[in-house]
Amino acid sequence: MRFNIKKHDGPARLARLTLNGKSVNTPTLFSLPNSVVFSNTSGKIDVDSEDEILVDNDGIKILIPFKFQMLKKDLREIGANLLSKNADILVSPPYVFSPYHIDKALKKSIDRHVKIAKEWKEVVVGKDVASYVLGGGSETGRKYCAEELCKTGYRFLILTYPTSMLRNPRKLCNFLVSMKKGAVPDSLIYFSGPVYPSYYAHLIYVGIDTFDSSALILSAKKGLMIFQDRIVPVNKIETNTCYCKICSTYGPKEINKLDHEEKFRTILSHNHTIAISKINRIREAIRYGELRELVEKENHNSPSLTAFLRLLDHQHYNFLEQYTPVAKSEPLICIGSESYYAPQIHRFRKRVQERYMPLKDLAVVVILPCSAKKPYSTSKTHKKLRYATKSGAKNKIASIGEVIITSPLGIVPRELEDVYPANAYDIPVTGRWEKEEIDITAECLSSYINKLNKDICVIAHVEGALKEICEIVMEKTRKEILFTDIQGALTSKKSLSSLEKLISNVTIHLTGVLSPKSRKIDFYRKITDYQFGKGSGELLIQMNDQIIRKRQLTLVQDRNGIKIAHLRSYGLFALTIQGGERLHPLGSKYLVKFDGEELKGNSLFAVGVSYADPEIRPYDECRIYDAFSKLIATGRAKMSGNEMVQASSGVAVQL
Amino acid sequence: MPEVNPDLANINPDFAHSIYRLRQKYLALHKDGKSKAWISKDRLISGAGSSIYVILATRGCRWALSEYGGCSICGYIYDAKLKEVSASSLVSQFKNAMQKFSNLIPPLGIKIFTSGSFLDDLEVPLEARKKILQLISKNDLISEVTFETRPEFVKHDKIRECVEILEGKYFEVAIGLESSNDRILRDCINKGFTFNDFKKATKIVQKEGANVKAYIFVKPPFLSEKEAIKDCISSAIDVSKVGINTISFNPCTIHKGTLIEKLWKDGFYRPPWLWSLQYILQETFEKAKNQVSRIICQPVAGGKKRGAHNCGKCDKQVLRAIQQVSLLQNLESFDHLECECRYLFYQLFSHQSLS
Repeated sequence: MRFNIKKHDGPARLARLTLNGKSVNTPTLFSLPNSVVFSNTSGKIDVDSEDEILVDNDGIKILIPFKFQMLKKDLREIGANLLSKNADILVSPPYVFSPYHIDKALKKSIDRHVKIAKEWKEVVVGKDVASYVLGGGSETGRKYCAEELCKTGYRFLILTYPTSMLRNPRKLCNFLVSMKKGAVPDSLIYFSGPVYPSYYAHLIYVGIDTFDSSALILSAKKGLMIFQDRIVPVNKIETNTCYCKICSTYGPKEINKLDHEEKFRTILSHNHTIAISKINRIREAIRYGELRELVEKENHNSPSLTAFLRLLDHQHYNFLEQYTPVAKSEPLICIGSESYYAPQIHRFRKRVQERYMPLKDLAVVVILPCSAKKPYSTSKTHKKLRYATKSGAKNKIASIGEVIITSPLGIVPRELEDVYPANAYDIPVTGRWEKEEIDITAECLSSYINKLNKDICVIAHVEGALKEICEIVMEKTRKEILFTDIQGALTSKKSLSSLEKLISNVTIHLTGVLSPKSRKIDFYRKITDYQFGKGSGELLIQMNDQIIRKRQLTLVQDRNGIKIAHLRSYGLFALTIQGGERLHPLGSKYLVKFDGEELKGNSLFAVGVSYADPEIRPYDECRIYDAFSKLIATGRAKMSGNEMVQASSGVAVQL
Repeated sequence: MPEVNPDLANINPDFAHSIYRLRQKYLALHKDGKSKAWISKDRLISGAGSSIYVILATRGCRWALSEYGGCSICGYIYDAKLKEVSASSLVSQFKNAMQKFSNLIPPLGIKIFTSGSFLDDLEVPLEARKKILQLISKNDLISEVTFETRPEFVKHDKIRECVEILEGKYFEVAIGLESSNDRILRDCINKGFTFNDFKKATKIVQKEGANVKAYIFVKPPFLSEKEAIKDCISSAIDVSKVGINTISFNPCTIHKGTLIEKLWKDGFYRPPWLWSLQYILQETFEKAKNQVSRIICQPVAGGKKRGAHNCGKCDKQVLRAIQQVSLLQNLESFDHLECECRYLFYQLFSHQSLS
């Protein structure tokens, strides 16, 4: 079995599963084969077949043995029996135990289950194997079971979960995350049992790879038609809203008139189309890195989904963030409150708080509102505001820092405006702020103000809710903020001149202002700090370096013209070998250890990685050292650090 | 705690312990049990008739009160008194129960349940057992006697005594076997004995000239619908080979204070479908009917949430058919049974029952 992860979006992944020479792209849907689905129509139940077979569209067959064969036959006999059947992957017979076992009893039962799984591998030599992740209602139990199975070499894990608990988002979310934490990152997770398509996006977002068609069959048997956002009994549909092959052939009334058997087949076929289109939609979203946005949209399908995402964001931020890329090329769309704690956004706020320090030798900080156009400095408003600032400060412009307040990012210092997601987020702007947005932003701004020197003068050119935020911050930090006199719009002549005057008043007597060149270097050091952690800016960019723009690229060169780094489109630095050398004092930070002989081509595969900084996220720039602690390359991570170490396949770093 | 001496090989200690803990919790809330009695239609050995059901409130099933917690599926213990019940009190319980019924019409059977074992001297003292059986023996209307016991209490002398007292009456010892698969007995039900123990007890009963009735449980926990069906059919075939007289399928009823109730509440379990019962009866009539005198199935709480049920629309109709089949011992009533839910998919829930 091979399971190659091609692309991540959060914990979700696009991958290719290869079994017995057959391949399929995941996320996918396993179908119960027609012979099983239709075997009941005669009223006869097929109990003679002891085992069940699931099939994927591309013909992959999973064989699940009957649970209680174990008494009458031994494992070898069961294995021989299953081997004779034509399947691609054989599921080890589960050890059945009470879901209420705890502590020692639970561990013992799981150990027994894993032992069977271990023996199973030896029994069905040469075949691919899968196993159930058991552990009842216990999160730690499931985690332990997944861990142990992965240690035994299992990479195809089957989850079972009572459907009624799908309606309990808290349990579901804790359960899934702890299970995922236990499993090796490149193991396939199959969520078995009736899961309706409205859950797909959320579950895939957490890292589930496949589902089965049982929910589709179940609803078809009940005469329920599944649509993109709802499930309706076929006899209640008035007008046709779907144009799948089935629905464009039959209207709902016609389906209703069909005889029992035909009706079931028709509805099932429709449901299947919808489920597949949903899965394909999710695959596309992962491909374009917009799964988070899709999940936020799907959130509104049911309250339990909303609760699921909220709990996930708040309780499992670390898990989500670990897999969330630090960049993407498309804009990040934040529609509502569910975006406030999206991992990308939350991470930006955290990093600004933890890694970013204000510019050196500032005398004045201007607080500005955000603009719809990103980066801010390209917008009309900001052009006007900056012009006013400049003409107010005259030759002392280097002593002025700018910070933009915005939701849900909190604050964006001017230096970071080109960094993802600040460069590419999109929010509905109405001037009305929610309480939560105000709280988040006020907290970010206070933390920024607290970092400032006492004698720095803070000027705010804002109105409405933003002014309110500044007032809250003023009270919180006991730092005085001077407000400009805004008359009419922010960019009206009077407002602008008020800003200009205020700035000129506070800068006029300044002495010892930084030279524009050192200011420029400091500016880019802030980006480095944000990217690699506090202090890395001074390592990477030295005082006598040159920062130039060449063919629309911002380059950092040393005085001999040797390239150190350049800025990527999403505002983070790409390092050259020389740049990597300069970051040597960072130690293990953003470091990947390669234990092979020689790096060939332009990718480093996960197999060759012996150590990787767990802080590394997809799209992070990292330094690659060989076994003799010599820097051999730099490159862009394709997976997170933990994954590089644990995964046995896939590209870890693009050189 | 009364003494039990099960073979530890037949017990899954972790499973037993989790049942035990649950049992202790619910026993603490226990209210005094009362004896009950009713009469209903039944299939007797001689043909269709009715049976008197008497439930005596004893001190309770020894197995359920033991440190092993009893069966995962059984909550009859909460109907017991949980304290010593004297022989005279048991006899008066029985007399009172019998007084309830006037103008009884034969053929008539009587079934005595104690929420445990009628042959356990600790539950039903020797004198009480004798006296009750004598009372039955004197009643000419009654032609058939059944009582329930665990196999470990089946002893030659005890059975001989019963046969002697009940001379001439058809007498059956009912044993709740539940399944002939020892792993299911151990890991799903916590029964504490094996199929072999059942076989031994059967031999003893047969040697003394009495008969055996085996209860088979429909849908133990952790089994999917399909697996449960399969297990019931193979159990029925297994017990029919041992030479018993009656097979009675007991579809699951969810009792309060049991492990299965907890599973059910948490969505790990659904009581069996009535369609499954239909299927089981059809198959066993074909495969095992020749070896036994009757196969019956009387769902308790049928059609209700806690008992075997279908979609709600067809429950009554199917239940009636099942009753008729038990009563008449032929499958005609199953002809033309139809409902939309018949097509609901049995195999679907197969993984769900796994923990």
